[in-house]
Amino acid sequence: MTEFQAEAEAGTDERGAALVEFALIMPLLFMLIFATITGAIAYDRNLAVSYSAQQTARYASTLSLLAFDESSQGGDANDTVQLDEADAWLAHVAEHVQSNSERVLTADAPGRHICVAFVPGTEDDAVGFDNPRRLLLTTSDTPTPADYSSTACVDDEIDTDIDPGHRVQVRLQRDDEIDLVLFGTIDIDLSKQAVSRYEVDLSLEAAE
Amino acid sequence: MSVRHPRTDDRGVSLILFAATIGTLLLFVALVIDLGRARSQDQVNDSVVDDAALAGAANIGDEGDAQVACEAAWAYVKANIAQPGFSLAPDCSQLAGACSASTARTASVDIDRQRYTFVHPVPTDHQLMGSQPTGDESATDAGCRRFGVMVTDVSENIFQQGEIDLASSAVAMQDVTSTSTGGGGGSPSSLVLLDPTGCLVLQALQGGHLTVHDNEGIAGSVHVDSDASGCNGNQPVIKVDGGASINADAVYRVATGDDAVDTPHWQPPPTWDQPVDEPHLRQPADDTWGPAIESLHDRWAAGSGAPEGFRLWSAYIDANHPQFSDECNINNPNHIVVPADDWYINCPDGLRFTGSGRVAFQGGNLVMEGPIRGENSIPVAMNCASGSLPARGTPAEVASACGAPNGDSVVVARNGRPFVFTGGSGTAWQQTFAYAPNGTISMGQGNSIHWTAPLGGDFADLLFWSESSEPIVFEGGSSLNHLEGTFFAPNAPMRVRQGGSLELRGAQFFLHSFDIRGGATVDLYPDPDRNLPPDGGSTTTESDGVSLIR
Repeated sequence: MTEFQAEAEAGTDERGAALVEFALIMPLLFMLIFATITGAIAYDRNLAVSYSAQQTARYASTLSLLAFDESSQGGDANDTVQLDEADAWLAHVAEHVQSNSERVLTADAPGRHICVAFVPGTEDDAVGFDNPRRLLLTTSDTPTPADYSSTACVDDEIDTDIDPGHRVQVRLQRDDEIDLVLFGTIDIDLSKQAVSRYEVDLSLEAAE
Repeated sequence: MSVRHPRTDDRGVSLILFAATIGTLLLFVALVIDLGRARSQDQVNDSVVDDAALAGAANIGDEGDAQVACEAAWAYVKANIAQPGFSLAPDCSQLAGACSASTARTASVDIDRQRYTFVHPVPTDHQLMGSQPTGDESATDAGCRRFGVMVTDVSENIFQQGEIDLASSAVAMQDVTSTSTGGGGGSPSSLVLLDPTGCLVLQALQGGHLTVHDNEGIAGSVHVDSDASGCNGNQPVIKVDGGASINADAVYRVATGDDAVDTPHWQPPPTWDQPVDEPHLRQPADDTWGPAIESLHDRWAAGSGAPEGFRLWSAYIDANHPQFSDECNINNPNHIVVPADDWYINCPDGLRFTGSGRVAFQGGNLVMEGPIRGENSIPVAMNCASGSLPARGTPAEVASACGAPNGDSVVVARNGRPFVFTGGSGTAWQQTFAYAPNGTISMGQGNSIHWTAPLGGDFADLLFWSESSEPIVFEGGSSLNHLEGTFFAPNAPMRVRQGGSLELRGAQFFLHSFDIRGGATVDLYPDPDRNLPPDGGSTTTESDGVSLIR
């Protein structure tokens, strides 16, 4: 056998090597692509949750509770905010979350929690209850996380001695995952909380 | 002869190439993630500083002590960034004690990669104020009533001073307009002029006549806020000359000031037989609409594209009036009746109606990138329930033909004015509130409008809101104009020119200044049902409203 013939035979042995190598790399490549796509989707959802929480808190902080007083059509001189008005207000705010979260927090979203709360301060007596009032919407069979405050959405540690104003809390959560294809999934928890000072002067509105 | 071929053993090349490129790929992925996180953090910071500044401004103490304000603002920062467990806090004692309005005090703290800085007072020339219109900044304590919060990125990374801006800031103030809306019996004032320091704030020259009538037993009054500290020489705050006149039951002087300085500028105009009323102290205006305006701005005016739930004007034209190839230039519209709905009009140079015809929006709300332009006397009616309107009629006739609207409407002009009418048109905007962050109103020769404010909702009795300083001009004023509601443009001067007359029943103006001349006549009549309620003439200086101003 000449040297030329030997080399030619050695070359024949390499056929398909690239295919084999690609087959080895392909799972890693697919994992990267899928992880990038699902990660981007999860990140987009995270932004939607974050934006919705912030915007809803700001919106709610300017939304009068007295506007939900059906009995007095906006309040009278002796009006104070009662629990049923607060509940109607909370339901409206929660609806605002759902309509402004780009369908990320729909009722069938996994691990969904929409929590909105009104936390009375001490600066005026136009609110007829002392304890926080909250509305918590969850996907069925989703347990309430242990770190929720017992009556509000978060323990925001805002001392009424420092700021006696009323507060609005919004806390949003849902589960998501990043798909690694053959390598399983990474579960992630999308959550955001926002706390805003309530800006409506209820005493002034009640007196009008 | 044997030929030596180069070695063709390339086994493993793909693996080597993959290994070589994966590092670069991961680097780019990391870069994109970092950039995204930075943008996301910036958005969060915007919200956090807003909440903190509002809480801070609400807790500014007597004599301008801001220690508690700083602690309250910090409490809201902590609650919103949701990083429990850290015990760091700014040294808020730096903000304790009496305030000197011209000297900013600061307290800062670094958390993770962010530096939070609390500022009080916020002098008018402070970087936080940016290009904020001066508003009532002549008040000596204006800076002391502001509270600012900044957050900046202090990490060592390529973005620190790079292509993206990672700094957020907000300033909140305890009140917005700092003026009384009443006094002297508690009547609503028809004309409130808010130039804080200037002279010639209220002028009638060259045969111009301003009269504020009493109405239903309510005295006609004007409020002027200037303390005259910016006057040159012997200029007066109120000037009447050249056969002109100003008539009102009372003109109230709102600002406090050094009488020795400002009194010479406050001599009654020579043709005015009413003495200037005793000074009234500044006090915050009733912040009736502030929060709703802020919310409206966030929802519909800020950002780009169609707000959620709005239909596209371009799609409507394509589907219903395909003869118009350009949805922003409608020539000879004949008679277009746009059904009641929320419409997004993406016409940065304006939605032009030219030629002949008439246009009626039957109801709903509009968000527009540019103004509505009715040219060649084409009437463009808003909230016109019947859709029926005469091609050429007076504004009152147009309103009558449109009939009672089904509800209230809101028009948001993201850029510039909400409407521009030329060619002598008469139109009607019924129960419609217009918000224009960057523009005001001008009515050219022979054009007139019948414009009424909403009757209910967040913007009840509010006709127009703008914080622009663009002058409001009524030229060749027509007696056909009818404005009913409160016109809030505290930074804009109003100029009425060139003959004709404006008889405005129920209009209430908040303006920077007012100037009438050239034989024009303006008659104002207060309306207790449609004007901002008075404060009862109280002279307290206590602030009870907090608004975000930047």
